Amino acid sequence: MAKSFKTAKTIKLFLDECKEYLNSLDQDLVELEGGSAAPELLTRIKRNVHTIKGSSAMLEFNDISGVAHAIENVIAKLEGRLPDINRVLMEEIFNKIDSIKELVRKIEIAAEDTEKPPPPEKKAPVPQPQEKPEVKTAPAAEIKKKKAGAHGHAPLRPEPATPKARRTDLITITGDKLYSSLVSCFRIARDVESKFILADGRELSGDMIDSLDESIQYLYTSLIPTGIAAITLIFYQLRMVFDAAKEGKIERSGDLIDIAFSGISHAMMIVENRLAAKAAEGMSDLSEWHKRVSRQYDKLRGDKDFLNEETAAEIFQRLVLSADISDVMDSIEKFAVAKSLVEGLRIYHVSFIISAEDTELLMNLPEMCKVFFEMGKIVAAIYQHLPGAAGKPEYTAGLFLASSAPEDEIHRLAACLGGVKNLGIHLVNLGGVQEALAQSTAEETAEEAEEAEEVTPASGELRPQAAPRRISQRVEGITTTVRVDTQKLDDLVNLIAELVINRNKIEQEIRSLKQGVNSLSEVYENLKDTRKKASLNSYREVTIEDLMRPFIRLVSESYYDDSTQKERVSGIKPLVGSRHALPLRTSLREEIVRLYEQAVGNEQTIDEFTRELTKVKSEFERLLMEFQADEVNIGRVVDDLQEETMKLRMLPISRVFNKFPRRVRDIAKEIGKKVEFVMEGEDTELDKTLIEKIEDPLMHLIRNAIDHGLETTGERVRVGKPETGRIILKAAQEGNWVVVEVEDDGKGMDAERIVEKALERRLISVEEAGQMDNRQSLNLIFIPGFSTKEEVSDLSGRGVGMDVVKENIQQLKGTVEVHSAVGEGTVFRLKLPLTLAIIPSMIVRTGGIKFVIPMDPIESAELLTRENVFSVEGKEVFRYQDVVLPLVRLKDVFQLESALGEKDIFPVVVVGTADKRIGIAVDEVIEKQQVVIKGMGEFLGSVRHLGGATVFGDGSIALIVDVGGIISSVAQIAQRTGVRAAASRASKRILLVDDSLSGRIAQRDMLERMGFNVEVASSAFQALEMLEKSDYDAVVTDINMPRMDGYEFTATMRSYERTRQMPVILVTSDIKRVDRDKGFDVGVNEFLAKPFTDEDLMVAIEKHLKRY
Amino acid sequence: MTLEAEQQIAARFNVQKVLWFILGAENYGIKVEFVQTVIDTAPHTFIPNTPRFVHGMINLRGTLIPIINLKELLRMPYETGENGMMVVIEEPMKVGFLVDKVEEVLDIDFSALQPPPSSVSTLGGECIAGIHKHHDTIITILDIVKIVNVAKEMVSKYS
Repeated sequence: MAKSFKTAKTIKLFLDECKEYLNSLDQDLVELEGGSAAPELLTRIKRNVHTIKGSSAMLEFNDISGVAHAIENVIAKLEGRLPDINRVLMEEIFNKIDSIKELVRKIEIAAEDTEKPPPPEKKAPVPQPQEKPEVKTAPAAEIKKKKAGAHGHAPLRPEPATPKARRTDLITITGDKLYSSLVSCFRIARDVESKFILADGRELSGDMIDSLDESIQYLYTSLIPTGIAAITLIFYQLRMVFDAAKEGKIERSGDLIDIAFSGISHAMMIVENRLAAKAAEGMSDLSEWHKRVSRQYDKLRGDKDFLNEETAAEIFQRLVLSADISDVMDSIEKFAVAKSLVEGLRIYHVSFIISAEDTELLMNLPEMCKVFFEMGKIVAAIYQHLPGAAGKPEYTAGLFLASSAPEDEIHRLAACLGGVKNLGIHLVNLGGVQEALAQSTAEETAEEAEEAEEVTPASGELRPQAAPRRISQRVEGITTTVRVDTQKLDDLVNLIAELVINRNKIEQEIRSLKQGVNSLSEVYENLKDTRKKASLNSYREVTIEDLMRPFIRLVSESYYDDSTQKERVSGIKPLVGSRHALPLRTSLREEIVRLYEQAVGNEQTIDEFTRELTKVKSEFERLLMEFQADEVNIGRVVDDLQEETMKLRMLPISRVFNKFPRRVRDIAKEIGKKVEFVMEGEDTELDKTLIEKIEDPLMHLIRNAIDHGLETTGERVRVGKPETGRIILKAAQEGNWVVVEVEDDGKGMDAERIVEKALERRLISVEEAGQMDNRQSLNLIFIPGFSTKEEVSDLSGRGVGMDVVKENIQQLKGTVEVHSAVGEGTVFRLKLPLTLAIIPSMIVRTGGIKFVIPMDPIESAELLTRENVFSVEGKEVFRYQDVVLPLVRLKDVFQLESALGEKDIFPVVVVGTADKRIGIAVDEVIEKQQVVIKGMGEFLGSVRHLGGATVFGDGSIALIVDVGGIISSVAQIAQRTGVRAAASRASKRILLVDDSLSGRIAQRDMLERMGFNVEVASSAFQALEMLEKSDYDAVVTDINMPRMDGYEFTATMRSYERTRQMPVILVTSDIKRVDRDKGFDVGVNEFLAKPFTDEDLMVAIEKHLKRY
Repeated sequence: MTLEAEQQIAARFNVQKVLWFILGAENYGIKVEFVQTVIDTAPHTFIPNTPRFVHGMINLRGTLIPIINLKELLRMPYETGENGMMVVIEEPMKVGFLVDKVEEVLDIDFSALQPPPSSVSTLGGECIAGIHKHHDTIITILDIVKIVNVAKEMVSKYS
């Protein structure tokens, strides 16, 4: 999962960057403190802090990002009151900056020392014996002493001098990997802390205490599974104190808050020291801290439920537990176990074996352990060395779980620890251990006996090898990274794009030259023929002019203008436009013309001329060959260059995916569903720009899957599904595409219900509904204004619907499909282009304009004869490979006039997405080419049925066709064709009423384009006046207008005899807010939601005009 | 004019440079600060599915620039094939305007502009910054930012 970018290189980059920012931050902060109130100063500070936060979070240096986040919070407070910058706050910021510096330094040291730490080294036996007693026994003993002092009893059993199975912990095992993810847990606490700091001694609100309580709980659940006794001590005690506070047994005082925060800092320090193998540091402070906690305890002494240490130790001793384990347990852990038993909970001992090699599993362990908190809590975690095969250390893990749940529930939870070996669950009882699912203990002990001999030689062997390798890696890290401005990267990509364009230009030239040389050969053969004939007949009669005529014609023919070219049905078609004659081609022609003129002028014989011509011909043939060879070489380099540059822009999709598990968890919690979230293919790479833009649509789909897709737990049980719903997010590369799927095993979508809903909302007509198949029905959910859930929940359906998801994906040149089976689940499948920059495509021409059709959706290009085009319900179709496909004419898509439109034979490009294919008829298919996609620019934004533009080698522009868009609107395009053929509408007068200027103009243009005679009014009053004075055939009006709205206006119209029957079409920008009933009551004929197309408006008007 | 004098004038009046151009029989002006370049009509590519006033797109040294036919936008008579000049602006976004002819750059005091006549133009009064009298010529100073925004809105409504 955390297949992060955390390589030595990136860390190095990050450190450099971070130091830079920190330096500039220091300067700026000093300036700020010095009284400079320039707003850009604060902006710069904010930006720098934000950058640090961002990049550290990306590299999972969550401790740094946590502090940076806290700084951001403080800075937010500074804003708006710059003149009197609060000293305390400034001090706070400086301190935090210092702690970031400290953290950066630590990472630096760690990066140098532990670049890819070979696992055995970390737990080499040498440091272990020293470390162990200091960590666990020392504080524990101290604490015990203190407690004993208070109660006059010391029930501690003596710690064994040489434990059989040495204890360790997860952080020591995994090194900095787990560390960095754990530290993120502290971030929440830090946020809370900064809130408290900002409250600055003012009264403590209940909310704040609650959030502190929550963060302690969160830290407890996250850190207990790491198995560090000192941390267990801190959080177990904090938990107890805060629980007591909640019940009102302890006063919620400032002291309590202090204890909490200093406890958290201690814990953090312990974690950090553990990483640096400096276990002893900070431990004396901890005892100080413990004193303060004890003082709080004293208040509880009178409580009858209070369990004292003495009794607890007594209880623990009676537990039947393997001595290996109880020997290494800390007194606080024993106390926790005993206390849970007293509280009537059962104690389960969940044991398993885990290998050091399995870092993934090890790192996820704390997260996986969280499931146990659903049914109780983990009170202790013990990790012990277990000798494995040489160099592959293994550990036994023991989690002590306090729970009231029955055993089978615990088994179910434990199943989430997939991947561990020898999983066993024992119910720990007074006087006996009940075996439940166990097979392990006997084997464990047997293996443990061998441990001492095994481990030492194994790791000893590894050492000498490991050292040199590390050095070489470090050198690499320093010398090979260069930080590059993203702007520079983009510039580079643009330059490569230009290079590709130019390469295409060369290709064009070669083709053109080839053609020229071919025609030259033709002439040459011709010449030879003629000479042969001439020598047989009268030699003198043939002149050079006669011989050259065919060639001159050939040359000039291929230079015909595009427009005249179109008129000719057959003949030579130049591949290159005539306006931009290519240099080589030109020089070839000039050479021939020169030869010809020279021959005529000098009255050369045909033999002489032929010789000259042969020379030129071979010269050009040689040139062509050389040129072709060069082109192949250049082409290869350009291809490689293009590919490599594209790779620079590629990032693993995990960058987005990694954000989801946490959010899924939160959402699931919030709506109370059990969700198992699975991710696959996180290392699939995707273009940088796409990565940035797919997060929102994906989050939306996932949210929907949890909220609407999965049934409630009760419902799932009723239909016999596992209680826990499953959501799978997977990514994979398919050719030039990346496919991302969001799959749930929920209730699925009912196509019939969707159609009903769409009908109810008048999104489709009854006839349309009748024709829809299952897939089409499902896809109705992507129509604006559609939502299947009645009540809008807090999570989903906040105005952002599936239509927005589809729009977002389409903007990325991708597609989205939905597949669903009732009762089985739903899959959303997003298909995204690998890169947005360069695509292979087919160049076509229609109506004299060149268009680019991306290669990917193209299945084939065929020649279609008119006889093979049929009409079904007024829509054109054609037969293709035994199926009937809709035929769309590109000229209709773009409303162009095409001279070749009615030809008997015309090319058709068959395109298709996964489940729908159509044919697009064009005037001419020109060629295949790689094109560089450019956007339409800010002004045009996204134009219907266009996906962008491209520039050819000759500088001309062609438009890229949005095939997906055309496929999904085949019906409308066909309809438009039909409707346009209808009778002229010029005689019809339409009154357009809209108070907004731009709306008025846009709609007037639309209506005028359709041929209507339009008059406009800017208010209902003006419109009523105009209606009184002259006759109109229909009224199109806005709903929301000042003084008199559309409903009132319609009602008024209906009260006059002459306008009682006049069609009224109400136009609105928000169909959801429309009161249809009210509208139809007052006599509105039709509602139209903006944005609507020409066709929508036309169909609506035509429909009612007919009746009127 | 000395620098000092210039500064004094700038302080007392709101003098700005305006590009003066011709549309049909009318004179118009836009602030020079927005203008990137003025070019002769370049070959353009027609863009379907856009309002009539979108003349097409040109390739200006590798950058694609959409061209607005200002006559169409202001609903003045326009004959297909009319040639003129293109005024390319950078702000608020990259877009060019097809005009008949560019005259010259004038210094105009904006604080002395007269309000537009009450008979509102096609795009509404808010798109006109004011009326300037240059000798005998009346120049309508357009608020190019508003015009571009209105036009953009119309384009997006069209799609």
